[in-house]
Amino acid sequence: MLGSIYAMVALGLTLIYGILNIPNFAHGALYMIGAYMAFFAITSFSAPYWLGLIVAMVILFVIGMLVERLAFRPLYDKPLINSFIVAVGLILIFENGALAIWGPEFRQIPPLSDAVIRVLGTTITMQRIIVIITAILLIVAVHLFIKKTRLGAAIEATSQNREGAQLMGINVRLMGGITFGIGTALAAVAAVLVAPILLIYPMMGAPVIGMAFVIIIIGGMGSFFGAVLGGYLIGLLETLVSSYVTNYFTEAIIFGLLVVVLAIKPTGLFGKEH
Amino acid sequence: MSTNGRKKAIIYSLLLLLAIAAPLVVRDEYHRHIMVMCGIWVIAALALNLILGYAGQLNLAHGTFFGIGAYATGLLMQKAGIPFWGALPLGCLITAFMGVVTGIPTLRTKGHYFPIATMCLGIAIYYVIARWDDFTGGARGLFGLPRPEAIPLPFGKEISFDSTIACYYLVLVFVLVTIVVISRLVRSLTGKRLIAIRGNEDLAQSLGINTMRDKVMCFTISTFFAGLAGGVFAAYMGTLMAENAHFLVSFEMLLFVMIGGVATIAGPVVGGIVIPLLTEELQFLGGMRLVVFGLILILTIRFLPFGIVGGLRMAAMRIAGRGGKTQ
Repeated sequence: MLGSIYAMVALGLTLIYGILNIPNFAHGALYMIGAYMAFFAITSFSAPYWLGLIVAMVILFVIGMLVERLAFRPLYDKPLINSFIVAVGLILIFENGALAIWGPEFRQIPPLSDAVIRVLGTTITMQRIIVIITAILLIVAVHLFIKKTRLGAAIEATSQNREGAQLMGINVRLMGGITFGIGTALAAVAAVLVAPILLIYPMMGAPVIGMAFVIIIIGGMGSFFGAVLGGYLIGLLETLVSSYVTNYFTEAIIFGLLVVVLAIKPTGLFGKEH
Repeated sequence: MSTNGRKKAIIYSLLLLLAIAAPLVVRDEYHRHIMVMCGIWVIAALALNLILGYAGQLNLAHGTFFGIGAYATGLLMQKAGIPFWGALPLGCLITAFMGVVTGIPTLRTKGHYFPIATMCLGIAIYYVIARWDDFTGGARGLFGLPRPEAIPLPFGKEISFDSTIACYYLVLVFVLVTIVVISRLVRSLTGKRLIAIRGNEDLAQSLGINTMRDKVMCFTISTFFAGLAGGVFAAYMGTLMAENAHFLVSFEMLLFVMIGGVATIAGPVVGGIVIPLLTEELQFLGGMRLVVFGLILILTIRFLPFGIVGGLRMAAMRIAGRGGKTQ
């Protein structure tokens, strides 16, 4: 379950990285905004769960495109460090904005179904099954979109060779915006899916974004399958560590692992030299 | 050149006099407290600027090292009963040691990986501090840390640190030490090597610079001073919360450096003073303050990449009619 969430967040992050070459630190903050959007759609406008999910996805797609256009695009030909710092600025804006407007209290989206199912001697709630299935469907859909559609092919071309894609008449700037939108929308879906199980609060993005970066570093930055595989791997690892080793220091162990990986191979396990 | 040098010396002495006289003019305790905090942030910002501005490495765990210094000093005082004057240097050394241990693996990475790795590191250490209840007090924090012990003087007198104004002068001394050490460092040959690494690490390496050694050394010194700021903070405040080691602290320090002016000595000093003061002025905005700062940060990067100090220098050069180019 956790793995599915991580896979989606990491996938969004890696798509954005592949095209724009920016590690978007604000990805977790946008994930959080996605959860709030669905929460208000569902509680204030009494929208059904799936509609809330789609609303959050669409809104975050637009926000993602706007962020790319307004914050990152002006810095394309500037030193990388400027983009990093702009991402930090975005975190400040989104997280503190959420805190100021919506307050620090925890909120919860009611689960779609309270049913509990017995499988092979263990129990699992229906909501978790929904998370797992939706995530798989969505990941397959994104994969098909990139491999089978013209737009997807244009995005892939841009990530492989920016100048080459531009020569072929692809609007690389627009591709950047669309990819940013898709990546952000994926994060929003992940947040809405997990919201009935975990809680919604302004800082909810921080632990997830940390994990997502661990995943894309281990999986190789910009790699589609690295992100998905890494997501499930880290999710599984986190669950194992917290159930069998320690519940308190799970994050520390996983981040420690990352530091060890980087010490051995500074470009990540499956990363290419650059 | 020598008249220029003399001019600079006069300006610096005037600024120092101003810093010494400031708490005598400002009489209410609250504003004196803010001035002490400004001093602590200036130390931390100068340290961040060393690794960010000169070596070009964005360390997103800087606030965490501040927290490590604060907790190390606080725990040494409280649990081990070591006096402040022993706990502070030990706290700084512990922080610097953590800097070496974490710096060696993370600094091997280049480009995108370093800020990501340090951000992950910051998150991990924050969770350790926030959850290790038996050792750090966890989410409740540490309470009742003692102020620095009085320094005995001849003739039965002593300097005690019970008052805010005494703490201000203590912090001022530490700020001056930090400025002297860091500005000497960046003007030395080592500083030039660091700037070469910032410009193009591969090229620097090909010129025979041991970039890894220089980066680790720079990182260690930077974390040492972050620990110093943290240790002074712990003794001055008397309480520590896990939030003091939160990764958001790193972001605030980044604000000080970037808005003040990166890669200058004056920049972090200006940023560390102006931003906390501005924060006080913007009290009425409540929680939206940091939103405003986030916006200011983004606009600064876009339009004033060298911050207030860089902007002022550019303006000064234009007025002097020498054309407006910095660096």
